Order: sequence, then structure tokens, then C-alpha cells
Amino acid sequence: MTDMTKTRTVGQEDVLRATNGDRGAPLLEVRDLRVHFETGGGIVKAVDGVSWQVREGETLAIVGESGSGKSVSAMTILGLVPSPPAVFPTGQVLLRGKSLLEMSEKQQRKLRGNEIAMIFQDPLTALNPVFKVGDQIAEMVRSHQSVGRAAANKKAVDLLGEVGIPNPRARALQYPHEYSGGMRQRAMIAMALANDPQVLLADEPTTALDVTVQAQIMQLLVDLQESRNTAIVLITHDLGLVASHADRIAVMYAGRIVETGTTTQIFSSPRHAYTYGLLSSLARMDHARPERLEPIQGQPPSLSNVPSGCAFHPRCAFVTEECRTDVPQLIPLTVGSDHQHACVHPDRVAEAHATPRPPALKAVTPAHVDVPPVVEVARLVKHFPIKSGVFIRRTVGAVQAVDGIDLDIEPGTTLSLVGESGCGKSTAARAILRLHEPTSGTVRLGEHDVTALKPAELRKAREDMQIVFQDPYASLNPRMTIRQILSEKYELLGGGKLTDTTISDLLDTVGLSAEYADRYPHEFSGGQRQRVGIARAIALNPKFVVLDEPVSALDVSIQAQILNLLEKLQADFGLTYLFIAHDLSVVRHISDRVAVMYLGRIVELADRDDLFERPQHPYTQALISAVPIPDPEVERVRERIVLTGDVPNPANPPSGCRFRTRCWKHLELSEPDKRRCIDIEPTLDVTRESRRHTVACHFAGERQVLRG
Amino acid sequence: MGKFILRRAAQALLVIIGATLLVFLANFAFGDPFGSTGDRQVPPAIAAANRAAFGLDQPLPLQYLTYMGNLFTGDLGVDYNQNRPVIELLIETVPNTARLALVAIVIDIFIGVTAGIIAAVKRYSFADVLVTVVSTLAIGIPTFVIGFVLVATLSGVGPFPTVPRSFTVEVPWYTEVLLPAFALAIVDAAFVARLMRGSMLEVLRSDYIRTARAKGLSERKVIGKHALRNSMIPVITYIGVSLGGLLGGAIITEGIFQYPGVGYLLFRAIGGNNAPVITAVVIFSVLAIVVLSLIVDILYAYLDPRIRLS
Repeated sequence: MTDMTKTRTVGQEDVLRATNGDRGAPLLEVRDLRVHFETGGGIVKAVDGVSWQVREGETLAIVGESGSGKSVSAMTILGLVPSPPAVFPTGQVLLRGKSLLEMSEKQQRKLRGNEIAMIFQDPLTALNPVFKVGDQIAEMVRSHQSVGRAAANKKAVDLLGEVGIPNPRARALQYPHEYSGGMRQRAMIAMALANDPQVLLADEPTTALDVTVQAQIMQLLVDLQESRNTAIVLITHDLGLVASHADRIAVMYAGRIVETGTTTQIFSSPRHAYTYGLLSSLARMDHARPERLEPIQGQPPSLSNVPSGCAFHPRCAFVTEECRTDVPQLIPLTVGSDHQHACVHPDRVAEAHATPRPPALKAVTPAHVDVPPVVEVARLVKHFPIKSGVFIRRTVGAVQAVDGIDLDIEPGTTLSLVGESGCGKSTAARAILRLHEPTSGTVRLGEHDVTALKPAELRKAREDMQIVFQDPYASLNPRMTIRQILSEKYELLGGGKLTDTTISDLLDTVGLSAEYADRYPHEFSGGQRQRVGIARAIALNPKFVVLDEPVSALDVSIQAQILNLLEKLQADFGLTYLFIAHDLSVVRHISDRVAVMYLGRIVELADRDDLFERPQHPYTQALISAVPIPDPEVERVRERIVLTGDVPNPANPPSGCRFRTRCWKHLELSEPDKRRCIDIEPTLDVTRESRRHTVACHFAGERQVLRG
Repeated sequence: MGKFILRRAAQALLVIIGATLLVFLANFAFGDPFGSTGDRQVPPAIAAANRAAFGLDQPLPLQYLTYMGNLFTGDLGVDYNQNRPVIELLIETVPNTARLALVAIVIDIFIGVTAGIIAAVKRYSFADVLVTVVSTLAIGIPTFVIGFVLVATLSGVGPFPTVPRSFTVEVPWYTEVLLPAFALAIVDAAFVARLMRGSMLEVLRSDYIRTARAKGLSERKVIGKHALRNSMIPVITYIGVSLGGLLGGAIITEGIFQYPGVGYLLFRAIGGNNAPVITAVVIFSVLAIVVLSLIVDILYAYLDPRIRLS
């Protein structure tokens, strides 16, 4: 026993020394860092013995789910973790050999924003709302360089120009709320680069942004890294982003690194059960017959009560007795390899990774073709009036959130509505359910004309049409128990019979234990709450359920659990889904048909495989090409269409084709063809290849964007 | 901005008309101001002559309309006691009240904002606990108690004038203003300290403060520049409304210190059933609050560029 432990617990230090001898000194190095928080509920070990390093011009990705300690370790490097409550039992942070943690606050401050800069997840909240963007950047310059106000302001304008903000001189004088999300993140990057830092810490830099904007921002970071040779530490949960942008990866779980190696090593031959679990729970957009997702069971542990031994063992498929007792240390895969893992069963993980997975339910069920649709949406319009005037408020215009869409959904199938934020997809979903009163158009559900129902009839009809919301934290009443939330459905809508076993059966159906019924929402994790949200939606056996971004607020490993549940419920109860999403990987996995929306209109509508394999509309092509695929081999050869600019204001859409202002194809057209896009609005027409594939573009045509 | 002020002015007009109507009804409910002088009954003939002189023999709606008509020509009527135009009484007392209100608000902001910032920045420290305990105590004690304690201990001491006041003795303005200002400021400062502490704590948790620190700014700049302006936004509202209230006259405090402001004027007018003075002071108070809240809204838009005046 002692011998075994000894061989396995080779110190991380020794390993690092053995493996890094030949590659020159690292720029930034973290050694055996521990960050603990002393709280009333015990010691929270947010970071518990983490070592990594990054060299000039290199991108290291730190990957993990929420609560894995990835952000805390970055904040520690900047000296921004307040102590108390934090304590640092062990660890060093070395920037070119200088130890950061032992420096005085004043010395640390000189490095912050100067040699090490950071960009954050949410650019809306990360910029101070009361100061002009230019001033905030100039302040960064002036705090580390002795330059005058005018010179700093000029530098700020130059930087804004460099990160691709059009008309930077005028933009510098604006406030953050006058910028779009993507522009705000560009401004954050401009600020971070103001003093030419050697290291850039990017904490989920694109998580709050649309994929099209994500592609712009990542491209910008790559370009800036090339010209300045900056080292980037990319902290993210998004394996797709990592596959295309990282040189090396460190996977974190419960405050420790469980596997590290080059991007290719991690994706092609994962050796830790958690890494493997993450990869197999990911939906992939480029797989023709999507594989069944294999979610990781359970949820990430609380950092104040980390399981003994390997922290992952309660959720692990390969768990044995040893995993429960000894904490496995990082060891190289082969002697001298820089692919290191902390797993007791690397061989079994390798074997599982090599085994093909069974296809998803969706991939084997036959398509429902030529069945009369259960949901028919015709010429649906939802405009929000804009009012103005001193005493009498007149309508002076309208935000054309949804501007005439037609959709048919066949029974038992899933139609996904995708597009960037602001394209009107959520408004459309709400208007279909009459949660927003539509401006015009009709919605038929079975034999009902939903848009013509009187209020009392509409309430009755709600039995048949339900919704699951995006944010499981905000959509459950915190003062009601799960039982009250679920039984309320029966009392309010009067349908169905509420017996003693109804609630426990319902909870069982969504994979929750019946004993949870009398608990309150705050006692549940995000994934469990979303299960409650789903139980509430299916309680009265509806025909039609709108799923409004049901997994986008959840961790990767939890997303797969919920997607599998939704698929199972559809198969068991013949539910018809309208799935609202921005994540195309998830859409490819779960849909039968996909509608792509842009500025209130549908631009392309097709069966799933048709849409992903043979997209016809330039917007669909750009959207698909912007989604990173979690496979470095594929990413290396893929072409990315980077759309410029942001979605135009829906109160004042462009004439003719609404997409033309951002269209890559429009730029390649001859003058008379361009005029056509500007003057004539394209209609949604059937393509030559399939009558189930419609597209609204004068110059529609295939372009391979999925695999390269 | 112009449109905004125009709309607010129209709203203010409605408020003033409503307020005057209410005061008019209240005055009517008080009963006949000329029936008696102190304990003595006034002979009915004289009382009737007085009523006729002041137009009180007219039907109430007509009285109201007459008053409103005069109001728009700047005529606030004549008071029942000294037969002086009410406008003169206001001109005498308003500057005193304005002085008191401003001194009180300066003390209030100085103590409240400073204590709030210290408590938030040094959260859970001795200073924070002290601020919390003292402010709870101060909020719990009614202003008049603080007023009476100050009168009992400090009036007549050093430069502070003795209460009850002798109005034949002129004193420098700052000696008579300090004690009542302090009495008024204490409770308000306690509120401001708590508001400031909460608001500052919330701002300190925000992402842009993290950004400011990540820029390498000194803690002094992080707090004094990035956090202060954001956390002042809710405090400004409170201070604005509070100043409006003080300008309208601190009736009890001015009464206790016999401070020659509009509050004390109203205090005496209510005692003497002096309807024209009561109505005029109420209109003035309403106006003060309306104007101050307009200023607060404009200041708001200045402090937070996301807010547009509309």
C-alpha cells in the first residue's frame, strides 16, 4: 500500500522540472498554488495545489465548470483576491522569475494592468457606466505611464481604432451603454492592451456574446497576440473555443488540475475520466449522425466539502475503491511527456474514448414527413410601438421584433429557431403562446386558432401549450415549494386530476427523487431546477412545449443531462417542441427542422441535416462557420466567415434584404446585383434540391462551412 | 431637457392646486379664526366685521377661487394677526430657513457620507460596528428629543443664544443656526450613512470595480473615483428630498429653538389659526419639494449617463 502511494504521488514539482527543462523559461508560472476561503461553513478550497505555466506568444486554456476554481486562480495572480477571507497556504506566482505574491501591494499594483492585464466575461458590467470609454482607457495609460492627459486620450483613440472600433475619435467620447456587447468587449481589450502587457488573462471573454461576435473577438485576440507576442491565459468552460484557440490546456475540477497537455493530446487522447466525460457530453455540430450524449452524472461538488480521494469519484463511471481513498497526483502519460493526468484508470478512459458511441434517439427515429402539422404559424407579426411627445404620447415608430414569420411544426418533432440575440426568436416564441399579444397573424394549435381565443378559452388552451424558461433561478417562485409550484398548475388550469401520486410521478419522470417535493427552489442546483421547470411544463400533458434556451444557463455536463431528458420525454409522450437557441451544436443535436431568423424574419428553413450540411443563405453559413467545433483537427482546416458589425436596429431595418449590410456575399456581387439586394426584398422560396428547404436570398448557394 | 422641465412644471402646477385645495379645507375645518381672542369671546359684531373684511363670509368655493386668482398675481393675502402682507412674512423668514437647511444638509452630507464610506470600505471593523450602532440609535431618537437635549445643555453656553429667545437681542447668524442645524442633521446623517454604506458595498462588489483594481489603480482612486460616483446616486435622491423638506420649514425643530424661519412661522400660525400664513407656507413647502426633486432628477442624469430625461 505504501509503495503504491509513493509511486503515484510523484510531486508535481518534480514532474514539472523533468518535463520543462528544454523549452526555455516560462513567462508566467504558477507553482502549487492554494487559495482557501475561511467561511462560517468551513474552509472552501477554491484552488488546491495548482501548477501551470505559459510562455511568450502562447495560449494556455484553463478549462472547467463553474466552481472549479479557474477564475479564482487568475484573480490571485493579479492580487485581487481579498485576504481575509482568503488565505494562501502554499504557492508561488512567478513572472519572469519574480515572485508576485510576496510583493508589497504597491509593487503588485505596478504590475497590474501593466505587465499582466485581464479581460472579463461580461463587458456590460466590467466597464464603469458613468465614465466615457475613452477616459477609462486613458486612465489605464496614465496610471502606468507618465504621459499627459492629451497624449493619453490620443492613445485611447488609437487603441480603439486598433481593436476595430469604427470612428474611434467619436466613440471614445461615448459611454459604455452606447456600445453594443461586442464593441464593449473590444473596448475592454483595448484597455487591457494599453500598456503592452506580457500576459493577458481572459476570463470567459466571449461567453456573454453571440457566436458571430465571439468569432470577431477571438480573431482580434489572435491577431493582437501575433503582433505583440502576448501570452494569453484563456479561462473558459467552452471546449469548442479551446479546440480552435489554445496551444495547451489545463482541465480543472474541484480546485485541482486533473489533466494537462497540448490541445491535440487532450482532445484526441484524454486520460482523465472527467476530461473524457466533458468531451462525451458535448453536442457536436459536425457529426452527420449525432451520437447520444453521455452526460456526467450528478453535479460538481461544493468546494467546502470536496469528496475524499479523487474529487471526481462520485460522478465517475470508472470508479474503484482506490479512487475513494487516495488523492491522485498529476503524472506524465509516458516518461518525459508533457501530457499529464491525475486519474487512476487512464487505460480504461482510453478504451472508452476509442469505443464509438450509440447514435442519438433523434438520429434513429424516422423523420415525420407529410403529416399534417400540429402547430401552424402564419404571417406572425409582433411590433413594439415607440412613443414620443411631451403631453400626448404618439406612436412614432415600431421595433419590428417579429415581422411576418411562417412556421409549421409536425407532431412529435422539434423545430429550432436560431439566430443572434435581438433577432426576435424569443419574442416569436412568446407571441406564439400569446404571452405577448401578437400584432397580427395567426397561430393554430391542433384545432384551436390560438390568436382568436377569448381570455377564458386561452387559459383553458394553455393546458396544451407550455413553456420552459432559460433561467431556472429566476423562473421558479422562491417562496413556493416544488409541490406547490407543480400542483398550482392543476388548480389554476383545472385540467388533469391531481391525486396523491401525481407529484411524485411527475418528479420521477424528470429524474428527481419524490422526497424533494417539499423543498424550496434554492435548495436545488441549476440542473435540478431546470428539471422542475420541465416538470411544470409537462404536468398537464401538453401537446406543444416551447423551450426557450433551456440549457444555456447550465454547465456543460448538466446540459447533456437535460438534453437527454428532453429527448426522452418527447419519445415517451409524443411532445412537439419549439426550441429557441443560439447554440448551434445543441440545435443540430436535438432538432428535426431548423429555422434561421434574422431581424424579425426567417431567412432559411430546412430539415436539420440539410441545413447544416447544405446551408444556402449567407447568414446561415456565417452562423455555422462561427461556431467552434470541439476538435482541433477539424478546426485547423475550417474556414471561418467573420461577419462585420452588429445586428442593425430593428426599429429601422435596412431596405430590401435585411441582412445585406453585413452580408459577405453582397460584397462580392456586381453593381446591378447589389442593387437587387438593396431594392427588392427576397422571399422565402423553395430550393431546387428539396421542397422542404426554403431560403430567402436572391443569390442563395451552397458553401461548405461545417468541416472545411 | 427643455421638454422634460416643461412636463415637470405642468405636473408641479397640478400638485400646487391640489395642495392648496387640501389646506383650504383644513383651514375651514379649524373653525372661525375671529370668534375669540385667547379665552375672551369677541363681540359678534366685531367678529362678523372681521370675517367680512377677510372675505370669510363668502361661500367656500368662491373663497378658494378668489385665493387662487390672487395667487397667480403674486398676492398671498394679509395675515389675521398683524394685518401684514403674508409675502412680507415669507421674505423675512425664508432666508433664515434656507440658511438653516443648507447648514444642516452640509453637516448631514459630511457626517453621513464619510461615515458610510468608512463603514463600507472597512466592513466588519470596529468603525463599521460603531457607525451601525450609532446610526441605529440616532434614527431611533425622535428629532424633538435631540432638540430639547441640545436646548437643555448647550443653549446659553458660549456663543449659542439662550432659549427662550429674546428677539430684541441680535446675534450673529451662525450662532443661532448651529444647534438647530445639528439637531436636524443628526437623524438625517444616520440615514445617509446607512444608505451610503449599503450602496457603496453593492458598488464595491460590481465588476467595474474589479476592472478598476485590475488596472492597477490605487485603492484611493478605486473608492474615490470609480465607486463614489456610482454609489452617490441613491444617496443624492434621499438628500434632495430631505433638503426639500427642510426648506419647507422644520416646524418642530424651529419651534423648539425658536428659530425665526418658516417652520417657526407656521408653528405660530397654526397656534393662532392664521389661515393665510398656513396656506402660504404650505404652498412654499410644496414648491420647495417640487423644485428640489426636479433638481435631483437632473443631477441624476448627470451622475448616471444611462438615464435620459424623458
